[in-house]
Amino acid sequence: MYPHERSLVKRLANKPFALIGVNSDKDKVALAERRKAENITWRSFWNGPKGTSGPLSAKWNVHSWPTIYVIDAKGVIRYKNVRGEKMDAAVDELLAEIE
Amino acid sequence: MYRWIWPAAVLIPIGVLPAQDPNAAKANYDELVAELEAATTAYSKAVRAITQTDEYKALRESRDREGLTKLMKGVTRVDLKGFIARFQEGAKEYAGTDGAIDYLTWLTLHSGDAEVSKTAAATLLADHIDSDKLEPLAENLHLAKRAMGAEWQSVCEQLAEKSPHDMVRAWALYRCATMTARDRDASAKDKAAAQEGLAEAAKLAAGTPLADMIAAPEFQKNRLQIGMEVPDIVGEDLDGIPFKLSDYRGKVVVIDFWGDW
Repeated sequence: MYPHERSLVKRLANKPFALIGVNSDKDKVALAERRKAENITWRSFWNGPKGTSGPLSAKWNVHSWPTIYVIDAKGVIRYKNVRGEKMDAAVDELLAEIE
Repeated sequence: MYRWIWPAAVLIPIGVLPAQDPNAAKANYDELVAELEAATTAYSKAVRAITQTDEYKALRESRDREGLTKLMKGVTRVDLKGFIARFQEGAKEYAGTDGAIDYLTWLTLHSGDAEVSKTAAATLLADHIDSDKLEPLAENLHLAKRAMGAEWQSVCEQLAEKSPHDMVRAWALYRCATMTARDRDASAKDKAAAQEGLAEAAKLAAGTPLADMIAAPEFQKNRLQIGMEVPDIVGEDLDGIPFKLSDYRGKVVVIDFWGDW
């Protein structure tokens, strides 16, 4: 998962694009090491000390990880749970809409 | 003359105080939990290390089950019985005071032993039903289902009925209801009652994450479909800095619910 996200973020560094995570690790300190090791540069909300039972994933009814939503520049949900090449294609399409 | 009665009355509890001091109870409990976590981590590390050895790989390759079992027996297991005994000692030491609640809650939820779990739950209901410190018990009560079996339902219902605290009641109602919803043998009447319980829990927990959790299926249906404007997320990033999803309006955004596992 990380390599794909890393390359997506790198490729679109100069575009109006953001990858925003909602992270459900309980231990932020251990995670800080992993973020460094894996070069996870994108910003994430933290789901709190209860991990996968935290408030953000609970509100959004998330029960499987990863869960993905793709949002256009107007703030409209356009795709759900697209992974890999499909995620790239969805993002490219939505970027093309505003260019 | 009566003046001397007070100091005498104060002196006796002071002698007992170190054992009953709620801060000491909490510190001792936290220490015990940390020790258990360390033991669990050490165990899984040792298991992982073994699975990387050539000996393990060779045994796996040849599907030598006996050999594998033997190899794994070399790993020191977590002494769960020993830990249970120590949590029981804590519960005994602080018996009748709030300090016992953490220990009894652990025994109920994590001992994995039917008798231990039921006994601890019965003590919590008998001695501590008025305490708001029963919230973690109610919140995590589903974890005790396997150990408790059929008696679980009654414990759950007693918590929901007898606790004077909204959040304890709300969590218990939620746990009872979700367990019934998952039970294939539950009657239509039970399921209807569970739905009522859920609605009651939502009311009691209004404005808390539990209320959001109960409302989540509806929220997903009504707010998270393709073509809908995305609801805002307000929170903190992993470095503790507050931000909002709507800060990124004008950009294409991928929202990724993830975890490092």
